[in-house]
Amino acid sequence: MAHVVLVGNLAQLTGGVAEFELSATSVKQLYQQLTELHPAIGPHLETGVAVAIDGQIFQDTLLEPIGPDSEVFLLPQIAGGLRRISASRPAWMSPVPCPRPG
Amino acid sequence: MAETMTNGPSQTYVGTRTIRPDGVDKVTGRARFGADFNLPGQLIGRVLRSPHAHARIISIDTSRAEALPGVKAVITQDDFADQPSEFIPAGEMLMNYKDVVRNVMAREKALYEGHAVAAVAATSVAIARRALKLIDVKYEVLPHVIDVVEAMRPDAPILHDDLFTAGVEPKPEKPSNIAKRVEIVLGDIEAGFRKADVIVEREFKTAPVHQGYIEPHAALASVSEDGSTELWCSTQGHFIVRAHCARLLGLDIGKVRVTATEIGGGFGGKTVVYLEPLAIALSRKAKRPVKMVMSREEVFKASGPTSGATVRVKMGATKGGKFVAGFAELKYQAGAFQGSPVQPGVMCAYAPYDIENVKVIGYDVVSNRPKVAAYRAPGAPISEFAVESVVDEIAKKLDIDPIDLRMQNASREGTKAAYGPKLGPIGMEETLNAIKKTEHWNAPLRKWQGRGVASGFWFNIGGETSASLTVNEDGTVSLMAGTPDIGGLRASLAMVAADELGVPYDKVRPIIGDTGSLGFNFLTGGSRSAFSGSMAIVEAAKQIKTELCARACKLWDLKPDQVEFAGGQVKALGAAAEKFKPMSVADFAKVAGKTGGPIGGYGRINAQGAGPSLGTHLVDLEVDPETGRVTILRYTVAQDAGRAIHPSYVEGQFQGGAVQGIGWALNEEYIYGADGKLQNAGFLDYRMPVASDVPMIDAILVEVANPKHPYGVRGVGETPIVPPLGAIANAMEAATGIRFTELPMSPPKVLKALKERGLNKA
Repeated sequence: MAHVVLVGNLAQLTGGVAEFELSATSVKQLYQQLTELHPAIGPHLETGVAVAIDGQIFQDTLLEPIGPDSEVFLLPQIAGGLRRISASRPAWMSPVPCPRPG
Repeated sequence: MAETMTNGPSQTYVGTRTIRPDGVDKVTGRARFGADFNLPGQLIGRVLRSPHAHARIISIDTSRAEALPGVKAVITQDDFADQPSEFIPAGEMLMNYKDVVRNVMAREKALYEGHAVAAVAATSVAIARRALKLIDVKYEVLPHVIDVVEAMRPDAPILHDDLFTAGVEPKPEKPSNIAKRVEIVLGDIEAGFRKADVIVEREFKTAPVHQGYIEPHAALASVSEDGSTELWCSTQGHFIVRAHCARLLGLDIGKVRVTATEIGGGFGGKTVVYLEPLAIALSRKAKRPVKMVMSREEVFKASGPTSGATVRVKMGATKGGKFVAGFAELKYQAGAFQGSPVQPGVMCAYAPYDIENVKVIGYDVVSNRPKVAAYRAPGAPISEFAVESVVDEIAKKLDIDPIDLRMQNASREGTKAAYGPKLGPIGMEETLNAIKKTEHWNAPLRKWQGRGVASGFWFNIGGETSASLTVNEDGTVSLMAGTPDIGGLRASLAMVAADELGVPYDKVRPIIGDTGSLGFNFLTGGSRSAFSGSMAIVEAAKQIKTELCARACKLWDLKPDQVEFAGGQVKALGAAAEKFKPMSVADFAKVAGKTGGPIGGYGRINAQGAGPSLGTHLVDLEVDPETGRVTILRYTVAQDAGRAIHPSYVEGQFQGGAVQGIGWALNEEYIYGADGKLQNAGFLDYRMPVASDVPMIDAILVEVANPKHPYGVRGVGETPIVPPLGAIANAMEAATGIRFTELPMSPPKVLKALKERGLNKA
């Protein structure tokens, strides 16, 4: 299980809980699991956080792998790209099967 | 003087001082900056700006202006659809489109002197000016507030009725100018102070300062009848401009093509839009091209400076010099709309040091000034100035050499940063060692002269980047990048491409492509363009090398494992080596058509792994006790560049950051009258350093390779502006015995302090 720590004000969105043990194996799964536990944090995850996995900071990424013993910090985004952001649930949180050929 | 300490890989061009490919155009005047672009039939756009610091807009009557012969379009808030409140990460700070649309054109209220209220496009400058005078704006003047501390008071004039402080519980019921409270906590701050033998607590104040780019904002827009839009502008990120303009004007991104012109400085200030959406809106309305250029006065009054701030720092250390607790409270001005760089200020404050117990609180505060924009390492110089000043005081109290004290507490690989993660390999100790080894550190000083040292930290970032390499028919290589070249990007990327492909540097021609030529690129900022761009070029070159190997296999009837790309050639391996003559990139170019068509590579990445950069600055200065004037005598910068692709450009970043920091520390400030109007909106009264004000800045390149970059590169553009404020304040204390806590340390303030202590005698 990865040890996940929320830095700064993010814990205000999780009822004050700042540390989690999660089975996520990617940033995308991490966001999904956190959102299921604490829906209020969901909208902030895509736009306002960077993810530090074992000391390495990642921004604007969903696919970065997380190891079973990884130490993960969610921290305020340092800077980031510009993407149109929907207030609704991000598409990646509701996977749609790819169309089959033919 | 430049000294290089390198542990990076060895290449033919990377690490050398090549001639910049844009140099000839720059020195001959051929290079075209924002205001140099013109189109047939273009109109001149001008902006009507609020004369009030804070006023409700009752009505705007443009009918007389529209009736003036030669006026082709007039725009107001009505030409921009309102935007929902929605935060997005843009540039180096968060922004909200509800605020952006109000900043480019005031809606309900004018929130600062210079706030755009309307704009016109006319056939001449004279007509445009006359038209502005014919626009009748009725205001209800409101009380204003400029200072950050005054803006935080409960009885302060409120700028936004719908702004409630975020980050506090319970949620406030009344609006406030405090947009946000943020904090980071590491360990137990109270327990840390209980362990301290020495505690120093100080309050500091810094003035808002402008990025001071020499080239004012400029934009030329042309919108066709079918909505296709072309825009040329001086920007740090034309893809970002495209996105902002498309959003604000309801355009399809694919219909907007933005070209970044040569840029005369940005330093973070050209990561947002001001004129660009106005020029497009005017052109769309007039159906003719519209050119807009800000005056210097407009640049000062209407484009973002960085925050002024009030900072309280309290640090504790043991007798042996170990830092055991660090507390800070930061109050940053955001300008008229929320979004100051207080968050990075909070995160950077103690980042140079390994401290077990840290608590930093930050407030983002709006007031009646122009909305702040990013400025080199946004937020960090302010908080680190305060911390570095207190570190110096602790060194004095404990009678420990200030470099040794910093060394003892330096962040290093494995240090848990107060903002969360453990740090990777970083060069804090190396920069301190480099400074201590200089002759400068031990050079003698005279009376009224002082020496100061300070360190600084900045994160650096990567981000989305696209770049292409195309092998031309004659074997030369065209390189296209999508981030504007501000500090030598084209040369740096060409050097990497030359090394990767084994072609001569002067056979690689780099250009900056427009938004229609490449995939999305985040902007030039966050010290990212050389870091991310070189990673994209390595990826593009890898594609070319793979392709050339595949073609060689087909030509030579060999299997993939029987060829390799090395030394700029594809070579057959083993027994086949004697049979086939190696082929260079130029050799393949000659037969490109016959072997599969044009040869090229396209790097499209979201670069991760930007390593932080740490620097330490050393400054000598002299104070004139009769006038309070401060002269910088000598200045040395040591900074971790990871790997300097082009040492001269890296040194240039060090030197430029130091000089801007000198201005911030000694002279620069926005001065407001009681009426809330800016009194020094020009370079005569806003005193930036010029060449004659500063000595040659000595640069020491420290290279602690970034393991996440193929060449070990770290961003270098922002860290150099972080240490100067603290280093100069520490030198001032050494020269006068006075701890200056308010910036700028301008002659009137210095003289006043000297007089108060009876020291103003030669």
